[in-house]
Amino acid sequence: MLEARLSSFLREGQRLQVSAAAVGAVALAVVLLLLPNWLSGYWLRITTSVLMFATLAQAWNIITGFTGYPAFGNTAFFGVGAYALAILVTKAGLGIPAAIVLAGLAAAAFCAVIGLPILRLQGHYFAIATLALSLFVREAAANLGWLTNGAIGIVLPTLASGSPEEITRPYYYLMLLVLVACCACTWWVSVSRFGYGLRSIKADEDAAACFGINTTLSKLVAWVLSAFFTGLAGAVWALWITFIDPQSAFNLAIAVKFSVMALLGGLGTVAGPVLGALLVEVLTQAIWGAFYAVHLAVLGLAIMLIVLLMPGGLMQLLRDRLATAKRLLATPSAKESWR
Amino acid sequence: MESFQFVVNGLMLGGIYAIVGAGFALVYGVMNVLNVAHGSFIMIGAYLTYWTVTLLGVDPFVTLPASAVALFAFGYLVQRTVISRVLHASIFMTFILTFGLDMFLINAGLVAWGGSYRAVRPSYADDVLIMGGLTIPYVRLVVLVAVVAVIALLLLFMSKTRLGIAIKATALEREAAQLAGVDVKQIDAITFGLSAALAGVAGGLLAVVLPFGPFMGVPLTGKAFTVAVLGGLGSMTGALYGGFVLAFAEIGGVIALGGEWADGIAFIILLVVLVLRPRGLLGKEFFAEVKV
Repeated sequence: MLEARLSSFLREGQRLQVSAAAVGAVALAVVLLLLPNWLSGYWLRITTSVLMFATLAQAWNIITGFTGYPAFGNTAFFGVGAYALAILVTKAGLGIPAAIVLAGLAAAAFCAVIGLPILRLQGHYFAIATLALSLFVREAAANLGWLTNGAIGIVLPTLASGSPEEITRPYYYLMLLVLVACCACTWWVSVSRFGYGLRSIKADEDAAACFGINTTLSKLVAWVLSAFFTGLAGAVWALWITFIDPQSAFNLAIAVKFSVMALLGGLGTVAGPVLGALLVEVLTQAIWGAFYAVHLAVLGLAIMLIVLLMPGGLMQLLRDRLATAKRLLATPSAKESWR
Repeated sequence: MESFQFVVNGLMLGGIYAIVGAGFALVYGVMNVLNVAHGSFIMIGAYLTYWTVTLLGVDPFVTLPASAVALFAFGYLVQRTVISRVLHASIFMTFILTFGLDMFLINAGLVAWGGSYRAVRPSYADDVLIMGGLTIPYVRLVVLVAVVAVIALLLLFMSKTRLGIAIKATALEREAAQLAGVDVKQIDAITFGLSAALAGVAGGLLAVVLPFGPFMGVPLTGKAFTVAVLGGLGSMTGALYGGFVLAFAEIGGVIALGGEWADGIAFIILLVVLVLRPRGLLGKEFFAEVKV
């Protein structure tokens, strides 16, 4: 009797939780859609930058968080996406939407080709190989002048004119669209059979193969998905920044930044990388504004402190807090059932 | 004649890379920590040499032992106060932590010394040795001798002293070393100090050969990473070989394809070595274990 009441109470609680999540998602969507109306040009740019880094961190999460392959060289796909868009728009005269999608596909195709040999490596060897790849692609972009204009770079047309708010607005919505698509894909990965396969590869690749998972194909698909969204973000970034050159498009600092964000947020979760991007980007801007001359040092110290205080990442911290809260709340009823 | 220049430059650059990579590999081997701030230790070493030479007027090569001692103390303290706290966290976390440390050190360098490039020029900077049609700057010869001396000392220390053997034992099998009576926490800090000292010496040598600034360490961390991987991550002797391989590959790339492709060639070689010999040129399997 008591048990039945308890379980129906719990089911009710679960239903409440689900509907609360749905309400929260709708509210978040409305806020994100209306946000450009409330923000100044300065904050709109920062928000767009948060969306971009959230996309990069989330895309990195698919291959690194779920599959366990530290692809620090994902900047290669960011740059390939940016260059593909620039070339398609300026040299082939393609429309913007088609060029963005094709740029993402170009990054994905590039990943599919180089993925097979590189994915044979594991751990740090994989990480350093992806770094070497990204540095090599940068050199190639600098030296293949007939295609990329070499070190001179490519200038792109602007999408909008007017006040700073109006100029940034289209890029904000494009970036938001890319981020939502990337998060939806990551959510699918987190609940699908394919995603469980990826997690088992992370836990033990040999065991996963023994259980009939095609590890090579799974890893490749995970990395190609990651490259696709990274390439899309690179394409929108190129449009936004309106000028790209090899140094800026294949900038390893971007890789360091998005991996810091994903790690601080929490790898292998859907919300973590987005929260991490928000935290780090806002922190960077605040520190930049407050300590111009020593902002690097203060940011460095802040990063060190965050790592020392929560080595498991934000999501781990939240989960621990939530578990503690639940335990505290659950204690009285647990006592009751004992009687 | 050109090939002789090639060999001298390759040996000199390779020796410096070897010293940089060996320190990086030691820390990875003992603590499973990828020290992104390694390049900034090199930067500090370069400035220490610069300031000792400028303020005291001594020969730059005399400053090397002093900056080695100073950086050993600094590395020891950094390990004890910061790095030791995250040894049990995932490797990515130590990666980020040392990245934060790197940012801090670069900014400290900018504030302390400004962003302009500097160079250490001893009184004999322009003197050259002319030998059968070959011209070799004396400075480069002294750097080469210093590099060989440092590598020899390091190898002797690692194979002949109890401390060196304890470091190797800790890298190979931490628990077993502990059972045999090695104070592994102390070894951690000493290894980090030794790695910083090697970086400091490399910085002093680089300061004599090339102009330098607060950001000099960033590409050097990349080289240290490459060298350590070429030699097999975690293997110190492997890194010594890796340093020479990378240097000759870079200089060979410049000669064969021109300066603009040099870095591209180095990265392609790295990729090919990685794909064909993932354990590095000399790495053994257990060195490559990754504890994520």
